[in-house]
Amino acid sequence: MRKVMGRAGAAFGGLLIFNALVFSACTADEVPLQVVDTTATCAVTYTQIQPMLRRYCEGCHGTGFPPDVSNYATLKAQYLDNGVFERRVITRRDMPSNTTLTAAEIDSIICWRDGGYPE
Amino acid sequence: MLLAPKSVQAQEPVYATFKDRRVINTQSVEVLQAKQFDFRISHRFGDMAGSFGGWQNFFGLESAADVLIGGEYGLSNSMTIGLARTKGSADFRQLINGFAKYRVLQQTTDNKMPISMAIVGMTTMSTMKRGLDTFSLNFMPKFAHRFSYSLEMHIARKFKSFSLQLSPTFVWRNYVLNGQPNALFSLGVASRIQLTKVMGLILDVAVPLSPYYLKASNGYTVPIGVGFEFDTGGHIFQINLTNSAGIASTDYLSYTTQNWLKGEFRFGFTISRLFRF
Repeated sequence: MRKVMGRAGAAFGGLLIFNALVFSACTADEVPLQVVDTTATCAVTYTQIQPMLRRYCEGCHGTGFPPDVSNYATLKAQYLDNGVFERRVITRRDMPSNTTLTAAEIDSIICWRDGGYPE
Repeated sequence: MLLAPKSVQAQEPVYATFKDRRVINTQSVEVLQAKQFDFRISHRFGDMAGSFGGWQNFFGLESAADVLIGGEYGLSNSMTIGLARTKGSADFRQLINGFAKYRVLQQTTDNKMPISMAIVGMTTMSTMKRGLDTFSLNFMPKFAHRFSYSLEMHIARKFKSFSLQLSPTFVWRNYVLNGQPNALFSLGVASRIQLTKVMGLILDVAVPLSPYYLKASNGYTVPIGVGFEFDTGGHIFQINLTNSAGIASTDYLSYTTQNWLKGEFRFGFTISRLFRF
């Protein structure tokens, strides 16, 4: 039994060392707390909307799947100027098809539209 | 063999507590033999039902929740190392998962050793492009934020055609969402029931033992998987249904939010092919 415990201990220690070596950089960090500034005027830009486009849209409308929303010029010409984006995402809300946007996400998109979809 | 002393016969190790090195997502107590190479492909499709499933993506079959391609190698009859790439099911994508697994104990037929035990150390690194959103996990201000780790202990016993495994596991993530714990303890329970000579029923549950994960309003669920396993000789072929989207332990233990009761479970399969070098 002592031998068995010894082997278990050695193996466990070995794996801890293995992990420690590979892990050499262990941190305990977290994403900063998001504070909404309600006094700010509505000024959302493409750069701020882009993470949402990446997460929800580019799987089907990204590089290699034209029209490509990862490119601002294409997005503007194919979706924004002709009102398709507004109709599908804000009015009908049938896009993105595989998820439902949160109220905050919709608000920021509306804000972006109100400002004329700035880049 | 008939002439062998009884005591020698009695100390035979118990083989094939599980047929594969994984149950569904959980590692099993099994390791590869020395110089054996296991080429593995696992796939988890999209939600079968619920708001993301149904006809719009043909009950999940038109989307991939996670995909694993990797290999494992037996350095000795007790030590296996492995490297696999997974797509990643949550905010961290494009994962490289490396692990080392050591079998500490093996159950014997005479019950002098009543259990088998293996321990696994795993490191996962996200190789994805950094995101632009400061409040998303994938913003990753430091390189170290790409890493997460798991340390797992698997203790199993085979009772004739039924095997049971307990898997206390510790997961550490270097970078988490605001208010989340970096450390997560979980207790896995896995089982295998041999139904016919080639087919077994497998079950795999991992209960997170963290107040944060157990609080329903935080949206996390208990990963539960059920499946069938076929041993075709050189291949192990497994089909399963599970609510967890991720495959790697650092992924599915940390990020499972899908709920069986809402139809958010998926079809999945694993193919394992053994080679000897």
